[in-house]
Amino acid sequence: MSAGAWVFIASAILLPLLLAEFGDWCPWLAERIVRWSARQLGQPADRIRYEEEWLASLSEVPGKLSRLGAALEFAASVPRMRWSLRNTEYAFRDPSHAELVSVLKIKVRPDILEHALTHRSFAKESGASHNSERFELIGDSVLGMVVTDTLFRSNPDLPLDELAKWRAAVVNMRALADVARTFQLGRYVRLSREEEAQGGRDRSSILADTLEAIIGAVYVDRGLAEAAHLTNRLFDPVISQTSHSAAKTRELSG
Amino acid sequence: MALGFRVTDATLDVLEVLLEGDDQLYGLKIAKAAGRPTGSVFPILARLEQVGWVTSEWESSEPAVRGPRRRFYQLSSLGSPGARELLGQRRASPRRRVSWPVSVLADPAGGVR
Repeated sequence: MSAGAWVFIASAILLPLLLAEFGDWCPWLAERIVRWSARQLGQPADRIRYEEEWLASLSEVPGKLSRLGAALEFAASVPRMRWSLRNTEYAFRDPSHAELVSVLKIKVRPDILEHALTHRSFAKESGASHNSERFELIGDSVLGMVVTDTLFRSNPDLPLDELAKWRAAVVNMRALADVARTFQLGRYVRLSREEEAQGGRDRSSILADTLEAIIGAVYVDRGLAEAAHLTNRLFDPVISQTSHSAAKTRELSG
Repeated sequence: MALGFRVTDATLDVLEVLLEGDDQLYGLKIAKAAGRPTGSVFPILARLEQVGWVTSEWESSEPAVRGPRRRFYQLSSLGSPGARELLGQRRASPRRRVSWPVSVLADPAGGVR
């Protein structure tokens, strides 16, 4: 066959075939590239999240070839994504909030922390739409659960009534306020002027409520493991003190 | 308020879209509205989320619709005032990215005089 015939066969038959094949292959390749790109991100949670998010985005790109282009764009953005997702300090509106999170060694979204630190008197005075009460409610549950869990596991032989008594000795307003005072929580609470003038910054009820709200905020934003971690850091000294003095009392009475 | 990273023009575009947009903004839609490639918009959104200016959540998936879900982005109570302040400083007059009003495109009589 002449060279012209070969060129004809190549351009008229093979090339369209190859292009059609490539066209069918594109979406598959694009998906593979996106999945691979997402897997290059640091944290497992990020990998799972962006894989789904990017695939959703990819599925909305029309055309097979442009879908491949979009996939390559995701692959090219991986270094910037990794930089973006690196652990960073949150941008707190109030510098004292940045101080508080570093004192407590927690990570919590600034807007959530702000809600948790907002006493209802401040919200009322300033017309803010949020106060800490919702976070107090959930923080109260988390605190009770974590303390009970710690007592339950570390004292397998303790009778029920003792267990309940020990928990009540750890989870009460006065004990909570004492813990709050160890890191001067009062300085960070957002109070109305009136409440502040009446000594609200050192009032046990406000300190205890705010501490619960912070635990609640960490739970809502970061999950139970982080909230439990914080609770244990703050309350383990109180727990061991309680069990210590309770054991002594039992020795004396027994 | 310091963001802790250099704020690029693309970041300003994204913030502008988030300020003006509805509550169902996902990555691709934001990229289109901002006139920026997704490869640049996703890292910006991730960064803004890391500093707490932006929050995101999965779209509620209906059981009938299987497949990957979109993720909706919106400014947090910290991000909205921050973005307004930043745009006010960096962009004296709000620049519109869409150059032609829709009415001009839709109505030839209005467009060509």
